[in-house]
Amino acid sequence: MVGRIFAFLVSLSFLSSLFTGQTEALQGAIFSGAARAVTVSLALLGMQCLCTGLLSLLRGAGAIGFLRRLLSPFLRLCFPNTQKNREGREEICLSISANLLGVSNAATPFALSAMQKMQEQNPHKEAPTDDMITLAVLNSNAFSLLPTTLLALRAAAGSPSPSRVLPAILTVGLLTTLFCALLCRLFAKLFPYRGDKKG
Amino acid sequence: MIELLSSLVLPLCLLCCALLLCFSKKPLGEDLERGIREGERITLSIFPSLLLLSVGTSMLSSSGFPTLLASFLSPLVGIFGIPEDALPLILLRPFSGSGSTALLEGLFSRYGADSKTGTFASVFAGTSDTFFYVISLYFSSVGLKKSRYALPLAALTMLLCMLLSSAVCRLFGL
Repeated sequence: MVGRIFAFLVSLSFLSSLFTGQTEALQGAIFSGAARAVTVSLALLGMQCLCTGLLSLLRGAGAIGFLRRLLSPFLRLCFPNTQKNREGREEICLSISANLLGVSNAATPFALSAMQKMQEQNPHKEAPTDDMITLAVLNSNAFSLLPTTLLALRAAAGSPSPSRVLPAILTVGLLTTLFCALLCRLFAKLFPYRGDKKG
Repeated sequence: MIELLSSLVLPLCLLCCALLLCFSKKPLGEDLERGIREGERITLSIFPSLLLLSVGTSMLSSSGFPTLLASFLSPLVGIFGIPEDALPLILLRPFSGSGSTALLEGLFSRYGADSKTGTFASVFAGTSDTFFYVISLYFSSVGLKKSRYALPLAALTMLLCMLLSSAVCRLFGL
């Protein structure tokens, strides 16, 4: 799958650069992209290990039950299938909570762990389940209650009150997330998962 | 106040885990180590996909594609009250985080962070994310070959995000 995406991105970039004349920048982008993959992976390695390690510790200590009870109403709403497939519930919730708190460095590791757990339960290994799609889409549109990077950028650009956009961000973010969650349920009904019977 | 609380959450979690590790009678150190090894495995398994996606999106943002497509689409977005110069940002946003941050900074320096364009860009950037990259990464990390309705759904959501950002900015008088 990544192969096709890669081919799409490279072809599009190649053609665009011919039209815009930015061919030199294109070559530099290959090197910087490859280098960035390494720095991102290293950063991810640290956080991923920390998150999975601590979660494993919490499981061993039996502290997960408390977490589960706290987060289960939300789970039932957005991820109906996790009632049946118990794996990955904590990871899903932690991932989405991390995004809301603006700690996207923790959101990605938990989401990747959740995907692995959901894939183990996935009867068709080539296509994602509805819950996997819901997690991926919710995380890829996630807004945080406190977008620290954005505020820092605004302050650096000289804005006298960087946080005046916060009410707007909260409103748009909440509405978009709601819309997204509703669409997920709708699309799951419209495009069922290989026709297996569920609600 | 909110900043203080939100910055304490992660350290607090770590504190709880550390205390559990010290004072629990169970052999939690083994669980911890097992979890860390699991994390190593996950990260190594996503490196190939991450590399290809990183190179691809980097090329896309340097190729001038956003500006090129923007010049075709700008008559359309004027109808919805979206600033034309924010269009490259909107087009690049699904693909590259660093590229879209650079475009955002460019808009700030050209128009000011509190201008109509600047506030729209701020709200849009604060409520959207690199959905193409995220979905591709998540799905390829577990070896999926198809993505079903994931990408169209995310694209629709971003479209709504764009329209709402414009509307809400005008509503709040920003």
